[in-house]
Amino acid sequence: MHRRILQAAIVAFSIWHMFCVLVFSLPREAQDPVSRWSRTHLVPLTTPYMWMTSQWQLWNLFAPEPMRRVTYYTVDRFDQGTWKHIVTLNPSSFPWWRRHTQYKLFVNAVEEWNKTNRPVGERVIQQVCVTEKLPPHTALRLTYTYTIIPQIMKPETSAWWNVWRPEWFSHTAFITRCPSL
Amino acid sequence: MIEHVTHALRHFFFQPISAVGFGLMRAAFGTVAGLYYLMQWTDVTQYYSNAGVLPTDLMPSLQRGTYVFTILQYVTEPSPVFWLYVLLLIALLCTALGIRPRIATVASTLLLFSFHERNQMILLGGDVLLRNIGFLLILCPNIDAFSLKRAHAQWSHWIKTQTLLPTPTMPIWPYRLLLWQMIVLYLTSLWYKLIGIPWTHGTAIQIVLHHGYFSRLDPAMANRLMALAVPADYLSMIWEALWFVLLIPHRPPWVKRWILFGGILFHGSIFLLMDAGSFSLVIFTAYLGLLLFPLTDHRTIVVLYDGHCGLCRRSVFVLQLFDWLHRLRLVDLHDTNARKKIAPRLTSQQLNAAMHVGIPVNTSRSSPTAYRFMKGFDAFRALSGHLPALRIIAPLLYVPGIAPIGRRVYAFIARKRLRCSHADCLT
Repeated sequence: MHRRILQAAIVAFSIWHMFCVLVFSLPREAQDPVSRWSRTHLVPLTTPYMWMTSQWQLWNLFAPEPMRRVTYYTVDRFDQGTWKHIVTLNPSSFPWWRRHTQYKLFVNAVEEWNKTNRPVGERVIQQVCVTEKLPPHTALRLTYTYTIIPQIMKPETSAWWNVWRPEWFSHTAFITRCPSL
Repeated sequence: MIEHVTHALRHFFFQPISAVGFGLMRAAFGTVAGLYYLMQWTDVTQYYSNAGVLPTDLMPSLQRGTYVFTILQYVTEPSPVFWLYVLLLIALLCTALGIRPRIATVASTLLLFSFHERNQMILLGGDVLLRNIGFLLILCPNIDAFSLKRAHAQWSHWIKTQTLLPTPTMPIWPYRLLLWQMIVLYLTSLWYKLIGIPWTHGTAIQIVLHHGYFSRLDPAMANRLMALAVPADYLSMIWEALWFVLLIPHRPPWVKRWILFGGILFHGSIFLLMDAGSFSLVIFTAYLGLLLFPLTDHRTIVVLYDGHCGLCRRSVFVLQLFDWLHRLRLVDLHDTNARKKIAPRLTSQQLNAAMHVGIPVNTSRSSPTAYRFMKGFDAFRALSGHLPALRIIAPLLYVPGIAPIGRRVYAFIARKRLRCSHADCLT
């Protein structure tokens, strides 16, 4: 009897888990009527379970659009009336074992910078104060240098890509200061 | 009707399968997660403590504030955070090696959840799948295959009975959940691709190969591959669509094998051409859980060995560990009756010189089995093709030049074996 109850519970749980995984993973950008209805009525049902069990997931890796923006970051310090370059942070700035997490951190905290995550973005840049041993209250300026790979509507030949050159833009993001000790 | 449905459900969720796949997946999960978390050694306090980039008071404004489970909401100072991280590494190591596999897997998965939930800003695609795999490993009733725990139990059983423990089994429902997870992963990934323009227009891979961060290729090399990028674009979508076929019941087993093979090519190519973090390795970890080894195979392979030799006994013990399909039948050459029944033409002198392996030449159950015998290195090479665990090295043993070297090495070891007069000698 206990075995049957246990088996029934496992079957019920398995069906529930499979249902939640499917519903939660439905593309948020899909606009067909079934997807829109699911987002309104089913996703809220499955969300608490998926969050509590840390099973939240969306499989939009390099899709719908692969990332086309390539960004490098430059940090300058204000010293004796002028801005002086300290460090340029690009993929090769970090050892290979730190690249991915550092890059993701920069993209999420610094590049996607807005009023909400500015405190985090500043803290990320202020790490430079530690690595470069800068005195407290030193002014730091973050500049983006970026290019956007063109949105090509049809496959291009090798000859076309050989001629293509990225166009780089620079933009000052924000100015902050090294924290006091 | 109800009986029929109940029986169908019971079969669908509880038929026994080999637990070897999930054991392999457990070991790989501990290894891959351990390696990637080891890479965060110098950044732990920056990522996860209040002295780092994301103090806990900023978390609610940047990450969800509800249904968050993380020990690191309460452990916030750099030193305790670091030691919790060390505990995670130890738990992952124990998971990989199979030291107290159940406790280690639960601890490592729950700690992994805590670290992920604490700072979601550094998570990549592979981290999501690691959580999915860890969750299923916690639920799976048997994850002891390929563990030191099981190896110890095997040795103890062997010492007493000269046989190994039966193949570990588990009910099929964790496998079904894993397969479902992978089908959802690939089909929703395909759906995302179909929503956008680049993938449907064949330009996505051309763009990605020119991304200065992700692409491992320099621009000149990337430009040379542009013609190949277009078919690769469409082929990858077709292959993702094929995962739908795995929902069809009673399909031939080769369908899943070919789809997994396609996955190895797909993710292997991504790993070679792009620097996209741990995703490819984590996918391969999940694939291990999808391997379904048959519980038995009736085609018996005979191994004739010297039961009085310690090295020989240890060697056949190791062979039996690789014998997941329980195909090996071990015969001590000193058991004259058994030996003469199986290999009447082989003399004691021949059998004393080298291990002999008999591969069945007919597989019909109705007629007596005839064997083709090989000895020494050739026997080992033939065995490697028949034991799943050794199949990966089998092609290497047929490389020209390997066989003469292998035969010499085997003959050298066999001669040294004959100099030993007691049961415990190794060489």
